[in-house]
Amino acid sequence: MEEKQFSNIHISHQAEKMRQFCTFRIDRHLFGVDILDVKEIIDEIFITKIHHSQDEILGFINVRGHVHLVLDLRRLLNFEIKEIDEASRIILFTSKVGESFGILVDLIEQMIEVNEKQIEFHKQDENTIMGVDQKRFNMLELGACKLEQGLVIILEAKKFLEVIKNN
Amino acid sequence: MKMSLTIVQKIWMSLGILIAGYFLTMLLGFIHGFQTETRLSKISNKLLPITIQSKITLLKFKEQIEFYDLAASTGDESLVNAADKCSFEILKSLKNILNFYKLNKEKNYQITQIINDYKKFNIEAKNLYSSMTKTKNGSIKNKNDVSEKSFMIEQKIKKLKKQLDRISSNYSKDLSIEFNAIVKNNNQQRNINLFVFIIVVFACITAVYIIITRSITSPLNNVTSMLKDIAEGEGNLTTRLPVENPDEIGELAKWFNNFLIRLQSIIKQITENAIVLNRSSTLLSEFSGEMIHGMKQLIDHSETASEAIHQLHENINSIASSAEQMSANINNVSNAADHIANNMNKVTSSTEDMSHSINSIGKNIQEGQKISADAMELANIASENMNLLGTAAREIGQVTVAIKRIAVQTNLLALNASIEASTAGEAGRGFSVVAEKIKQFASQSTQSAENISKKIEDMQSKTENAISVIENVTDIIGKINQSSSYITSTVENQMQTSSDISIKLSEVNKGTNTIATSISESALGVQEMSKNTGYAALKTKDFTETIEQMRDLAESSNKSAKKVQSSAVELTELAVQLNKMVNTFII
Repeated sequence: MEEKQFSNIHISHQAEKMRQFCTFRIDRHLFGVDILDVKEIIDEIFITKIHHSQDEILGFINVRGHVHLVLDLRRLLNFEIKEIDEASRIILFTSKVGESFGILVDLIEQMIEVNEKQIEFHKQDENTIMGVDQKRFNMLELGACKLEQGLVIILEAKKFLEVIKNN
Repeated sequence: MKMSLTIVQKIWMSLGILIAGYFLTMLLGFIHGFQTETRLSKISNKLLPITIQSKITLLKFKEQIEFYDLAASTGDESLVNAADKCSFEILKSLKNILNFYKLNKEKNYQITQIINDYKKFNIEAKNLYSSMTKTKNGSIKNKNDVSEKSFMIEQKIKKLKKQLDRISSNYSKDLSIEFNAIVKNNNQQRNINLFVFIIVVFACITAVYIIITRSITSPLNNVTSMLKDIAEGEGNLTTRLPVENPDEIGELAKWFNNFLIRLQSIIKQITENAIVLNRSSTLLSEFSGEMIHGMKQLIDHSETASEAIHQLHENINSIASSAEQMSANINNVSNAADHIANNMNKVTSSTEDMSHSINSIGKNIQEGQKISADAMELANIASENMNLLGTAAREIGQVTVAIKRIAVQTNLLALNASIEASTAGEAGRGFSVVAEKIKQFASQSTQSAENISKKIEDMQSKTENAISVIENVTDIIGKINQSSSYITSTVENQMQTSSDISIKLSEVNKGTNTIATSISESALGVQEMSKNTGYAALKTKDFTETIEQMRDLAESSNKSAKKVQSSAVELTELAVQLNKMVNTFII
């Protein structure tokens, strides 16, 4: 273990390009977003619904006086709908990502630090014909990374609002 | 076609038809014969003599001519006279012909002409030939004159000859024509006769045949077929012969029908009688069977009775012997009764001891009851304490839940802190270490909280077990309490019963004394009984004899009843056979 850690450090020194991701789960699948995009994780979920809005938009949430838009990641990634429970969390993103908004996830995992070389970036191929859902997933997916706890699919936070707007 | 005639009349009728046919043909023949007869008579009366006369005249004329010729040549005057005679005859015959032909005017005219001619000729010829003979004898003076005259006469002779010839040939022709007509007619008539005869014969034969077949043979055949049916077939007696004609066959059919009616009624009676016979014979066989059955039962009963009497006899004997034994036993019994009295005294003393010990048992049990009540109270207290413990443990569990929630919150806090630290970059690196530590603490606290909750759960289950065990204990104690109270009640009962026993035992003592006295009395009675049984044994022997006699009688009557039954069976068989035979007829 120590040797491995050492080698990791060695590699990091070589590449000097380490990235941190905040990981979470949706229906057993492990996803991650860049930690620099994350502003805060909250567990007090009191959502005000917006009528006649898109299905993916759950509503507004008030965090210390600031109002944030909340998206349902399950709907965005075309999973089955699940009720909000104790483990549910909302990840709020920073203002540089876009208008203040957050996403609802099933369960928060820990922070991870990964060398950029370990990430297999996804190649955007727009020529291939695919369905709307797959297209959306394609847009959101930045890449994948294989770790001890499993495969982490890294999503790009900037694209969430874009995807909804496209629709 | 119905003919209301008897057979004889029919036969006579057919014969009459035959005779009538015969007479018809006869009549035809007779008419025809009459016709031919008239024709023949006409021939014989008229034509035949006329022809003969004509022939005769011709011959005579020739003879006359010859006479004249001879007279001319010889000059003999006698010959001329002879010729004269012939001429008379010729005239006579010609007149005869004329007489015959009265009706035919033409022929009459011819003949009268001939007669006139002849008369002239005759005068001339007579004159001539007489002159000729004279000249021959005298002188030949008027020789040329004579020859001239002779030539003229010769011419006349030829003419007359011709006429006569013609007449005779005419007559002969007429005759032959008439004969031919007769022959022809006769042949024709014969053929007609034959034809008519054949037709009549055929008609008669067919008429007779029809009459016979229609009115004699077919009814006879009907009757015979019917009789055959009755004789050979199923003997259908309901059939009747048809009475169509009032002739002999009709009579026969009528009387045969009467006979059939009589026969049918007789056979009906026979069948009825056979049925009655059958029924009564079956009844007889049943009765005889019942009789046999009854006899058998009687025999059985008598046998059982004799056996029973035998047994009775034996029993009486055994009674006698046992009576003796009884007397001996009674003595033993009186001895035993004395023993019982002694034992009874012992029993009373031991029952008193028993009642004492039962009292001590009752006391002990009351103490045990008190102890068990105390134990119950203690157990109740323990269970209450246990319940308190359980509620306390539950409260602790609630506390651990709070701890868990706090740990989760802390974890989130640490996460947010690390996010903040990473956004701060190099400056927040130290803070991130702190956040990591906090996170570790949070996870440790959640783990320990989980451990506590597990242990509390363990404890709770154990306290529940303890509560259930205590409940079991209280149950058991309650049962003990119940059973001890039951024991006390039974002990009380026992005490009561033991006192009852002692009372009854004293009564028993009295009873044994009375038993001893009554036993001595019964010994006397037993002796009397043995005497009576000896007398009874004698009587039973007599009774068995009479019963055996009765059984013998029953057996003999049983045999006769069997014979009756067998004869009844035969009778039923006969009745059945009779029934079968009668049933072959259809009534």
